[in-house]
Amino acid sequence: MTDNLYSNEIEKEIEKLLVSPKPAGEFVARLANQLHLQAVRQEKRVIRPLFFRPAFIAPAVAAVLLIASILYYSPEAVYAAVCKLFGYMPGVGLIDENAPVRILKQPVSITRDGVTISVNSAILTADETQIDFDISGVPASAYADEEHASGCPLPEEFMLLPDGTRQDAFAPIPAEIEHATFLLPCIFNTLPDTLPTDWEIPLEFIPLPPQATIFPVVEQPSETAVNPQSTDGQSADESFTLAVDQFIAAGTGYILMGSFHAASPEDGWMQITGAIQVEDVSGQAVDYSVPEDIQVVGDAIKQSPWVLQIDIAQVAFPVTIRIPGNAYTLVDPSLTASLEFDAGDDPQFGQEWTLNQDIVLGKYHILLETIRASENGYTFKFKYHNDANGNITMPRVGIEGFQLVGGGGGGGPDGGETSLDFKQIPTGKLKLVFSDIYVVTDNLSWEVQWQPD
Amino acid sequence: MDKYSNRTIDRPDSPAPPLPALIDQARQDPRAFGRVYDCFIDPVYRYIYNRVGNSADAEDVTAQTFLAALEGISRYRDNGYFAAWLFSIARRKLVDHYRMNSRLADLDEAQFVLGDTDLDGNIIQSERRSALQKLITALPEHEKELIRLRYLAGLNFAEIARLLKRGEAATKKAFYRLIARIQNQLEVPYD
Repeated sequence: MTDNLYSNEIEKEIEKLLVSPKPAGEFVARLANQLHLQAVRQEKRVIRPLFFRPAFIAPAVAAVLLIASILYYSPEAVYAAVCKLFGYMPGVGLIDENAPVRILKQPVSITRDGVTISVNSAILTADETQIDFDISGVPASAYADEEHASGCPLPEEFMLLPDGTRQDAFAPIPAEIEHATFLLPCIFNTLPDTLPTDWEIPLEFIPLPPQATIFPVVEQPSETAVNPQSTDGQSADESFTLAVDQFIAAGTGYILMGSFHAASPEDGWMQITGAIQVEDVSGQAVDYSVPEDIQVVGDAIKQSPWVLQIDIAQVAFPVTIRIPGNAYTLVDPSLTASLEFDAGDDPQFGQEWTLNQDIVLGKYHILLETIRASENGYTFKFKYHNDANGNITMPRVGIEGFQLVGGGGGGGPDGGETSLDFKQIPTGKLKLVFSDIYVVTDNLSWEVQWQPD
Repeated sequence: MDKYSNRTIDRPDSPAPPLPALIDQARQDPRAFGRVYDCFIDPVYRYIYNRVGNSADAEDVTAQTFLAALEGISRYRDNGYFAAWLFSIARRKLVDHYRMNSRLADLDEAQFVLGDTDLDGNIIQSERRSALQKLITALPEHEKELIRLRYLAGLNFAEIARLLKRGEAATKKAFYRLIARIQNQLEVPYD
């Protein structure tokens, strides 16, 4: 979105004619919160590297014990042991070197009516199947001229196994299966009856050749991590520490994997607010890339995981990795406040009560301005009293004796709204319970230095 | 509701890193998608509003668009064309919206919302504005879409070309031919 928007006056006139209002602030906040909740759920669904999956916990524990026992005698031996266990295969990602990885025996192409689909490569692990394919020879006439007309709606690909099982093309294929058929119902966005459909491409898989490149993943000793630093004069937040957790010496560069370490899961969470910066020993910015094939996964302790790759040729070590962020730290979780609220016997949709009630949680004050009835619950509107005690978030709200079925909300630095949904709207005299506020420390910058041994 | 549900996705005073970095972060960590959302919520909503013509439907389709984008961002591979990718989702959601509302017949009559004559302008300006409005309203849908993508979505020609699966040069040429044609017709006395 960079080229000049206007080349002449007529364009400005056209632009002025277009009437599309900006979205309402309430909608923007509500959707932002919905996206955040979805993101949290999505993160939990992310396929973890083999050694984080339940099936691999026992071997992983055994590996840790093995490492611990070796560490007692020799750090060098630990390095060697870790190298043997986990590896990085370019184009595939993190793998358990002891688990089988298979590839496509040879590329396969099929041509029908001048259109060719070629499966160039495939990599099969216990976690997933990666298929690299391309399509050529599709005539322009197969696509719609009109913008609103739609063709093949979704590029859904499947894999047909020898026993007749039809599964997502990217789902893992059992290790004993050597043949499968790649199915493509139609070619994305092409119009009906213009091209052949129901493509079937037979594939054969073989074990990964022993000479395949796999780089060891090395656990980074924790002493490399340093305490967070604040660059804008604020006191440093010590709830989270930036750390490089693992590194990979991959060809001409290093891949660094890190995260923010929370002192405990109850502390709160970290929010990265800007781009990661990498500098070399002289303070020169270092270009980096983000490997697409490594999926880093965080948890309550290792939060906001990141991964980056630097080219060894342009770097004078040590490098400094700097990440801007906000820290959300839970204020004493035992703090609660309650409030009696009479909603009446028959609260009406949209009915609003003005309370302007001060809610006190420890030294923090929050103003509950209004409560508004929705179809199956209530929306609480808060205003914060941000003062010397620091910025805070909205409190968690509950209604004693009523089970939530949903909710949402959002807001800005000065206040916001929280909505609670129930199976049926609670009525009568209700006890509102407030808890769990977070202190927000923003505009922080964390740094960690790293260099290869 | 989990304990994070009260959080504010972003604070207005936080620094604004380059978009590619934000997208990379979001691909690694879905929770970072909030920053990408902040960058695109206005143009996506305005584009969709222009297609559906009311805020209720615009909010519905916008929400579906961003939820689908969040769901799919880890699979986004077209580095450098994120906007085209996002608006392609918006366009698919619009098609779904029309279908779900049993308005297949209306697909040929997609909304194109234009403002009323500017009451602050003088009479000559108002007449010109009215004439321009008639000209644009009469445009075929694919030309209206070019205007939407350019001025409401704020896409550059490379992104529009990517989205429409056309060449960049051809897209640019088609756009400026359209603008020239509108200008020429505008200068002809309008009945």
